[in-house]
Amino acid sequence: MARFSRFGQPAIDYASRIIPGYGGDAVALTSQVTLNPGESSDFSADALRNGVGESLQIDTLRWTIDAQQQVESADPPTSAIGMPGGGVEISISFGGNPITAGEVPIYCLGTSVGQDVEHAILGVADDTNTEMLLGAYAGGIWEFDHPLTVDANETFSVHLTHHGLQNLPVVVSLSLTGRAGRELPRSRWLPYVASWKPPAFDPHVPTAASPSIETSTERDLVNRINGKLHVSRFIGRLLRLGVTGAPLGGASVIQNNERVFPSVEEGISGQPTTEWFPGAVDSFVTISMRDSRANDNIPAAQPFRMVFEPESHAWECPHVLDENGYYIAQITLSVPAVLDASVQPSIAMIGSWEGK
Amino acid sequence: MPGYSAPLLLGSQLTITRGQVLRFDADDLAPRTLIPYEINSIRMVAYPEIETEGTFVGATTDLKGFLKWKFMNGLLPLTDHFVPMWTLTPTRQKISEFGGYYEWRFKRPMLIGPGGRIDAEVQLQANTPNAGSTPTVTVAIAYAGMLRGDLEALPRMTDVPFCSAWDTTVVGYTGTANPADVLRNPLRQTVDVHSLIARIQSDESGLEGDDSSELQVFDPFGRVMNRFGPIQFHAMFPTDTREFPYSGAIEGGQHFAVRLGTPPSATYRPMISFLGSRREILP
Repeated sequence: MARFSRFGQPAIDYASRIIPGYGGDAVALTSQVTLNPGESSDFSADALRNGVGESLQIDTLRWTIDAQQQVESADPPTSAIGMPGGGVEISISFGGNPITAGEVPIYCLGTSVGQDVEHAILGVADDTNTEMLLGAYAGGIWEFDHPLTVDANETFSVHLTHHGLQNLPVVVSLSLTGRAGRELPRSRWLPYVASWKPPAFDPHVPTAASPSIETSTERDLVNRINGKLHVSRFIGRLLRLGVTGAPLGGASVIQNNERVFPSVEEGISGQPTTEWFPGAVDSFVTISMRDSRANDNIPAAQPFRMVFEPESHAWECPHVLDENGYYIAQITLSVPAVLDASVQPSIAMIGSWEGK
Repeated sequence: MPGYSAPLLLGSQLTITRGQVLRFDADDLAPRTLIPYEINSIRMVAYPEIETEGTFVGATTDLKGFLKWKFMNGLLPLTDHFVPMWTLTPTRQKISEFGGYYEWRFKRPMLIGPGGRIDAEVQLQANTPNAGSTPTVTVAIAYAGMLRGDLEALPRMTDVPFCSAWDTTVVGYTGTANPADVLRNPLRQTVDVHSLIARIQSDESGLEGDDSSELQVFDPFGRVMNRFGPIQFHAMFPTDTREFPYSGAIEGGQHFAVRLGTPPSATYRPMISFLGSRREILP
């Protein structure tokens, strides 16, 4: 099979997602938890347990985060907010095997399909306010490279943390979807993701002569499983917090007045406005990368968007990484006078391995 | 002991002003190791470094066809001279183009031997509009691919992508019919074509031009593609992709023929290309 399909996109192994002869019944294991800012919580193991009495083939993890207006209130916000995908981190293990290497920003699990469907605003218009908003949520889908077999009574261990980037409670919903049936073929594949989330940049600090630099360690983008990891892609996201205007520049002359979209997350009183769409800062944050085999994967620092293309936020590069192999990434911000309060990068390495 | 493959992303950056032709630093466009590698896409991004508030090159930082690119791997051309940036790809989500980002995704990866590289040159159209002073445009390029240390032996042949375009902003190419030296295959090898791309630019506003005028496209053997006569641009090249999927070969010396219903003008600059690939002996 060709390693790349049309237009150079890595071939998704659709053949392995089609179960020959028997499709099984559609199944979704779902759970939900409410998190207050700064809070951590576990999903109910029973909710994510395979209780159907036969094997499941799980091929997709879906998440939504619904922002609430007030602490311990079910009332929806009256303004739209974004960012929850960057503000909530998740760790997952299954049968003693890590699915995530520690906590991973939840919006780094899967590639973006469409920027305009990654978040949504539920609202109705009236005669005075054409955007009287009733609620806001963000969502994403992680399609596994190979189905994951879940035997009867097996369950997932899922832990979530709300890092309090915005002082709003959120309801996090998780859904593991796939097929159920006695005749389903077994899969030995397990998904895996490792991530690196450096401290957020303070954009007011760097200068061209003295840039802000953050470097990952051997313990971040690492293969912690007992075997070879089949890496399918890297995902890179930049979350801008406290957006107050054009991202770069000053009074009448603006360096690159790019704002791909206007701020879709209008500020809620007391909350910073956030953006996680590609913006000018994607050109001014640069990244270089090398691996544990002494390869210069990105020898010269490149603009963030050149590595993680703006549509999918992903770099598709299917390859195999040895046990304990790792990548070292270095992120640099060198342009001063950014008006944002902070810029939070996060990078994830997505793959799968045969270990079940 | 077999080697391994590893991700690779090479890139370079420069600044350019109107009318200039510049070459990217070749040292940045090759890996720092003598092992074969493959490239599966060329990524381009461009944005004005200084803009007066409220004025842009175009309505966004999207430089469309004002930037022209030329790529060579040794003596193997990837483009037929300079081709407009936005004719190297179907339209993607607007979020990428508004950010000035375009990506030429190869249908098949291109293998490059140890020490080889793809050289890149870029040209900024002399009459690129901007209400401010002389714009300095920052242009970055990146090649995404893989180091292929896992190859025990180099194959004799490799796939090489190819693009030829009719750019009606070029002096001498502004008629209603394209000359035989554009939209052509200047090579000896047959090129497998997978897409025709058409874009229309307004040189005055920097925006997209009117796409309701008509055209006729003839394949390399002179057969008209739309047997019912001229067809509107947006009917053949829909707004969401600007692509006409095409599956066929163009032999050396052949060309596509396009007939426009409306002569090109400052506000109506069609740019039409084909994308394909051919097999070449690995240099």
